[in-house]
Amino acid sequence: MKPDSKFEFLVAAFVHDLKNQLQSLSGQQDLLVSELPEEYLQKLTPMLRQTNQIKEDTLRLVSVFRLENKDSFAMDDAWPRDTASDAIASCLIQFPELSIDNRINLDAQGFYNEQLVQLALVTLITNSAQAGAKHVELLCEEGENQSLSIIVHDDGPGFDQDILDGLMDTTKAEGTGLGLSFVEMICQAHQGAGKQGSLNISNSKAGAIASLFLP
Amino acid sequence: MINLEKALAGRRILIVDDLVEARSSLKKMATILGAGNIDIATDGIEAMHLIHENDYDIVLSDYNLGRTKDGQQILEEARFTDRLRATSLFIVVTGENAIDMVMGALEYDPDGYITKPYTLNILKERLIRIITVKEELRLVNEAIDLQKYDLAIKRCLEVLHNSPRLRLPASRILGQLLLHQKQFEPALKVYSQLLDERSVSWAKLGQAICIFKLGDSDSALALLRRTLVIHPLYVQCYDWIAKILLTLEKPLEAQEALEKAIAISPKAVLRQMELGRIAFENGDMATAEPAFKYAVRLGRYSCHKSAKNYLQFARSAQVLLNNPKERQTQNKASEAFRALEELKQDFSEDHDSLFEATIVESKTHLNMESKEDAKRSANEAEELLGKLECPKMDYKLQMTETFIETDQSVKAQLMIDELKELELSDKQKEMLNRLDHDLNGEALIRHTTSLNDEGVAHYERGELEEAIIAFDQATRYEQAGISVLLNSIQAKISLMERDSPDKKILKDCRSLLIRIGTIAKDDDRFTRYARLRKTFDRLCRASAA
Repeated sequence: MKPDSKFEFLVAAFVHDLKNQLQSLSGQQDLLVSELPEEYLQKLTPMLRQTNQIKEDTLRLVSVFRLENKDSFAMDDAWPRDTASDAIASCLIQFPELSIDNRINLDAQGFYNEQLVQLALVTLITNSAQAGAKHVELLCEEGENQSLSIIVHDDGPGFDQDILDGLMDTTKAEGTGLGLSFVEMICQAHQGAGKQGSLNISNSKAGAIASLFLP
Repeated sequence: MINLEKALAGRRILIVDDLVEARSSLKKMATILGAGNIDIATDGIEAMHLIHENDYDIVLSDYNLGRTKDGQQILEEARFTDRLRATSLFIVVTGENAIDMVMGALEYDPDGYITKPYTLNILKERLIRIITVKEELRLVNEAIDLQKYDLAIKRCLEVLHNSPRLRLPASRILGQLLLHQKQFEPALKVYSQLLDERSVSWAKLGQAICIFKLGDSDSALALLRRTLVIHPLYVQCYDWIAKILLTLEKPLEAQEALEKAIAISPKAVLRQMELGRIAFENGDMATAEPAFKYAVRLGRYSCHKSAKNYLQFARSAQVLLNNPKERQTQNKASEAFRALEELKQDFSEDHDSLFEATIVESKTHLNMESKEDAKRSANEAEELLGKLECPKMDYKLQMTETFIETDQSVKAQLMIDELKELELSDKQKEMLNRLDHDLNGEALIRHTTSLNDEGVAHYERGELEEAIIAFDQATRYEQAGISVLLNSIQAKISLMERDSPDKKILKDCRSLLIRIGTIAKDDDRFTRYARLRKTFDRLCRASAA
């Protein structure tokens, strides 16, 4: 964000306020979940789902705004297992039937913007669920100089050949259909040791594979 | 990995957030995670109060805390006053937009941050990671708490060697320690090696500081400016740009850099003080005045509260008092007086500051055209100066200037005579010469005129002795005009005519006539002069007879 832009200051102020409201809502929901008897929790589910969706959309909106603006994102030590765990928690609210396995090593460590990468993972898992996958696995490979590849592997139908060939962004009817582009923008916002982050997609025998390379 | 429940159980925790829902939510979450001993503060002032009262192991503070201090300032003040040990944790809770500022802090950096919105699970994971890292650096931080900096450096190097995963936090502490110990070459190496692989904002700032300290100001400036292109909110870069520009004797550019920093982050007392100082030196009171005003307001409840801020605020404000009849000017003057009053109350033991405040008060009254009040403050300052055991030369110069401004020329002259006998710096000598010139110029003419008026008033009431005293005082000064000299002669002659001729008085009259010299016949004062001269000659003859 440029400090001399009133518009951007205003946007930042609104976003700040929105995040505080969401934080408060999220806290109250956590409290309700912990205090209410099991039979009432089901009635809360649609509300929890929608709140979570608003939260994710807000974060996505802010991130797209900043990515488009070529803003710098703060990078720091981060632990992919935690990042994946947060993404999984969010996705399970939206897709409770989905089985998600976090197979990332507890000690794996990277250097990235945690909020962005979490959004990327949520986007990829959401794609998998919407494509019909029943099971998703998250894995991580550590490279040189703390570089990482975080992999999302599902048991769905796999990517269409047109998407693999880069001819189309999506074949989905619902959503923006721009999830992969968003994830790619997030990867590219990460740079280190002379390399740029990237998104690689492929199909395995058992489904789709999306791999986020974070240098 | 630590066991979070055990790690939190025995610790004293402070949660700071201005939003009621946010702090109660965080408190509940922390309680669920195992914390038992939690205090709550609703703003920066309350937080600092609690930090001064209690020893906290963990502080969880929101960054944006409304009108007073922000989370970063609480951290700075807590560490600056040694109220928060290096082994204690300070975690900033913030939205993404403030992360640049939180993460960029080179000297007072938080141990970690949690971005909003977070869930219980995210909070748990972040706390586990942050506390684990802190535990792994415990030996380093213990050495810092004991102020054994060389030992801390040694332990930091060991951590870097044994635990490559701690490279970022360990390099950060190591860089700071090396800068603290003025080991700029090794510090530069630490930052540069890290930057070869990781683009970390604080390492760029550290690198620029080292380069500057090693003598290459231009490269340091270029690096800081490049960093700002990528991180435009990184205010500490502006602070250092200003520092470097000052050493390059570019005070106007330095001021400009600090103004940019203030636009982004206006709540830092030290930054406002620095802007005020530079703008004051630059003669830009319109910038200095609000900067010092902010510094006074922000400093009121901080460890940076200083009498100097109050003085400088009033000094810069009084220069702006251009039109005493205008409401805006009157308001500004009232603010200045209030600040001086607060200074007098809060720093009542600091006699030097009391003296300076009273001098500024006098000048402010003068600018508001309240001569009597100005004179009263000047006399109060004189009393305070007399009580100082060993007053600075500058104070005597300030006192002299104030005496001149309040038409107390005799006192000013005495002070100038005293100062002329003392050892002064070149700058002080320059000021003394200016004051001497002022006193013997305009101010003295004003003074002699006032004494003359006094003498005339006595004369008209027939109080000849009193008139002579006033005229004698007026004619002591070289600047006394011909009319004053003639008045003095007339009063003396009138006295001798009433009583009898007196040799001493006649002698005085002669001296005055000699001072007048010859007056041209077409001069308006010639008739009066000729008449007095004739009477004088007659009295001389009478005296000789």
